[in-house]
Amino acid sequence: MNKQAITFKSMPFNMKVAVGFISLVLLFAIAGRFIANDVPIYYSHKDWKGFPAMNKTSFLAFKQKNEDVEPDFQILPLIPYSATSIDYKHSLSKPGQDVGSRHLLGTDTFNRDVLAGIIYGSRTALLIGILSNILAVIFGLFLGSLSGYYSSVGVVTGRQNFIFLLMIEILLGYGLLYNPYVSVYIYNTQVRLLLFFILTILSVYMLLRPQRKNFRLDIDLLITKSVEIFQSVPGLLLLLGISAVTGTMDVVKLTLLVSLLRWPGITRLVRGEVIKVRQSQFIESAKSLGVTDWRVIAKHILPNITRQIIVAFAFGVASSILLEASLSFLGLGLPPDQVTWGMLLSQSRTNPAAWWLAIFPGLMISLLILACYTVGNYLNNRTGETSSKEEII
Amino acid sequence: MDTLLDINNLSVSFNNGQSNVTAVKSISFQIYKGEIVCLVGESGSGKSVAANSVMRLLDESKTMVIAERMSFMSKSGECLDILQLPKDKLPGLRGQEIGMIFQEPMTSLNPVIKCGDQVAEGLLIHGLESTHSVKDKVLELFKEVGLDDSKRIFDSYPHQLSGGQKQRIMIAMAMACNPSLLIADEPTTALDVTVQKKILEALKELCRNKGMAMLFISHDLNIVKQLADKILVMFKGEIVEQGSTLEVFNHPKHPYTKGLLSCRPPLKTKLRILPTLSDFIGNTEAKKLISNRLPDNNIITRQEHESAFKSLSSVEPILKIKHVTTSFTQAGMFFWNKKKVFKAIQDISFVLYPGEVLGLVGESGSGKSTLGRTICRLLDSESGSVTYRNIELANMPENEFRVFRKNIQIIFQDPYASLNPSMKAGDAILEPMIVHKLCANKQERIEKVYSLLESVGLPAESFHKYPHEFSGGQRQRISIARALSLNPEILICDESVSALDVNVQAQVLNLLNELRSKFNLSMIFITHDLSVVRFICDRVMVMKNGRLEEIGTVEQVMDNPASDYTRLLLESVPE
Repeated sequence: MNKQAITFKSMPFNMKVAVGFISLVLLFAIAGRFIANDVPIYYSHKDWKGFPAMNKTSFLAFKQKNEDVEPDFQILPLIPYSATSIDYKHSLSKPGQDVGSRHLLGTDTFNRDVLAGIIYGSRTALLIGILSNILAVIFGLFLGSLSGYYSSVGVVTGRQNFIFLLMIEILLGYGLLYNPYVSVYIYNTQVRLLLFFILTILSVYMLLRPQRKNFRLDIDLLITKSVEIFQSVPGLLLLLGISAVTGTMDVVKLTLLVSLLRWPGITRLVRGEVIKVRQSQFIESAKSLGVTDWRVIAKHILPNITRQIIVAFAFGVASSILLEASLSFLGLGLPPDQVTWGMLLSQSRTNPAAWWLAIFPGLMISLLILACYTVGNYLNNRTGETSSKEEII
Repeated sequence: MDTLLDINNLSVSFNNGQSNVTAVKSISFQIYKGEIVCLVGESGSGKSVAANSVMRLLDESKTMVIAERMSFMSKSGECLDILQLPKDKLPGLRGQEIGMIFQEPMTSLNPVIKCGDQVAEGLLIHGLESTHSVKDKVLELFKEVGLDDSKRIFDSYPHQLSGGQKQRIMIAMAMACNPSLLIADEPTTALDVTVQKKILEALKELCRNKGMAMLFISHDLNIVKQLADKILVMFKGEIVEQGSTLEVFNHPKHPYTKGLLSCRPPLKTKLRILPTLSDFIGNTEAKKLISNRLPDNNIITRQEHESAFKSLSSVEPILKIKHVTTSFTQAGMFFWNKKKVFKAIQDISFVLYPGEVLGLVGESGSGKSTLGRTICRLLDSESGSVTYRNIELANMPENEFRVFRKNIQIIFQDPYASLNPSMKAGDAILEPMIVHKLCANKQERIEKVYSLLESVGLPAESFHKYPHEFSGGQRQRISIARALSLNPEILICDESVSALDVNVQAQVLNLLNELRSKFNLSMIFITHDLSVVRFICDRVMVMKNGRLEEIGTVEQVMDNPASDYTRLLLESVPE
């Protein structure tokens, strides 16, 4: 095992470019409002001062009092538009079309700046890409490691535990997601979805505690079959169905839904890797020392599959970003007042002449995915390289 | 005699990106026609690398092979410079001129092709036989290497054959094109002693009959004694001694050879302490770690041992095994298929006295490992009872049994696989104590780890190292320290020294012997090596096909074996 740290200097050129691009998108996501905004970053005028880019209220009050007066001192952002600011003079203007306007990449059908849209959209893309995969990895690691570890042995569990699990999965699953009566009490769909995730993890955890009336449950069968059921339904169709029931989208809901599509793949991967590691002798050795199952999984198995998980995560981020973009493109994603890359892209469908609406957001999506794949490949190759080195010597 | 292979100042170094490792340092040797040359050395001494470079099998982008001369006399009388040979001539060299047999017969054969076709492939590629006559030729080859039922074997897949049969097929494959040199890279290491003996005999006979030369690579000096005309001893990439077999065995010159010859425990006599290499090579550091000064009277006599055993066996046994049967079930492809049941051990009964070392001997597949695993409940027994100090362990639920796990510990065979690669040595030893809540606090536990490291002869800084930084013997010491951290009363050693080089094996055996009296351990020592049994065990149990063949003190069983099978085992041990 190569313990050498990954440094920026030791990376190949394409990896440096990929890391640079991801950092740029990260910068857009974190500091987007300071780069593109229709209000100054900082202003001061007599008694008035503040950071309007962070909190607009005082600046709006200032504007209201002193109409058409520019502040004494202000730091303006690089791009004088936010993603939602509407420029009434320019509708669907080409990049650099009107002299004097500062729409570098043009405007969209709603008279909004495309560059500002791209900058603001990177936040949505990264947020959904990364958060949904973190959730999916947590879920997948939990279920996958149980499934792999207890495959072909099963787990001894109490009957009431199993009944509890079934109840959670069927009743609460149905109740939380579809039942209108429950939605009266738990109004927020995001909370309901999260609750479903957490209760599932809890109830599976309960399965591992033997009680008075015990039986051997083939937990692997249970988990692999649910993975198969999930994977047999086309992803977009599933999202379509759920979004039809749960109403309008927002970022959190979309994140949860995307992770709902991601977890079966990760569970499968983890299961396979766990089965591979489980056959090693050091696992048997740990068992013979009386180490508990949970500790074997956490201390002996998972540290040996982290590389694979990280690689899967990198590839997963790419596919989640693509999924979000295609959802927005189909009009199933976030509402139109929230600018995303996929939404900008979808406007070019109705305005085929507006090439800038297709090229620039499309380029961003492709480049970000390419960068994610480069990172994933790099991590993957590094693991492969080290193992082949060991074989030679 | 004509020189077949002439190697002068051959050096091989690996380049792994960051550093250069020289595996072979300017070695020179000649092989004459029809001569059997044995290359002996411990793992990592570069013997396989040297052999692979003769076949040009090394990855040329990562290795550097330099030689003053490396020439091979081909069948047509042409002198080939192996290093300068163009790539398209290599297949002609491999197979037709030089044949090779690998160590692992289980993985060297393609599992989805019939054995006969695999052998025929080589013949067809080199254009030596037509598709019509190839089958007869292969059958003939099978007969030559001693496969009697050749027609059946021709149509068998590798999984249907035993290890010995597979190795014979590998030999047939290597010999198919009638090469003038055969390179055998540890061909018998993975096989049982009885099979090993037969394979060695077959190889020798074939070489003599066909006038073929052989380069035989082995880590064990003793098995090549009957075979070799000439012996080359390799140590750290250099040939430290070469000479005829008689010369090397009777008058070893280099201290390393002397060490190798005496590190192996003798089969006939029981020693107090095994000599190790450091007794021959003046390495002061190693001497400090294991203070094994050989006593003047190093041989334990039969009377002495028997009286010592009598006092051991006068007390109540610590472990009683009664009629234990363990079986494996294999599910069919469909759920309505009946499950196949294979009884790995059947109706085994014995007792273990406190402080005693019980040897468990048998060939692979005899169920000795299964028995060890059944005792420490890594496998569940089907019937029978395992009683530890009047507590019945066999049917105890897993969570209750966990408490008793600390009393019965097991050490595995492969020191490379039995430690978690992502866990530091110190943490690995610490872990069982944390799990069983031994010692009052963290500080005490860490102190105990240091004292354990000291007692297994490892330096204190090993605490913060990862397993890959240790050698095989050191890793086995970590495994031992880990097992001892729980103060076990019973230690099961499952082939714990089989994967180690003779020198390291001697060190670990000495250590186990020392720890046994220090911690008052009772041990079940599973091994296939009868000379190890003689050294470390008080009593020995012979198993065959899952059944108990014979049990008695080491002297009884090994000097006057009662069963034919034990006698066969004893005869197969090379001397």
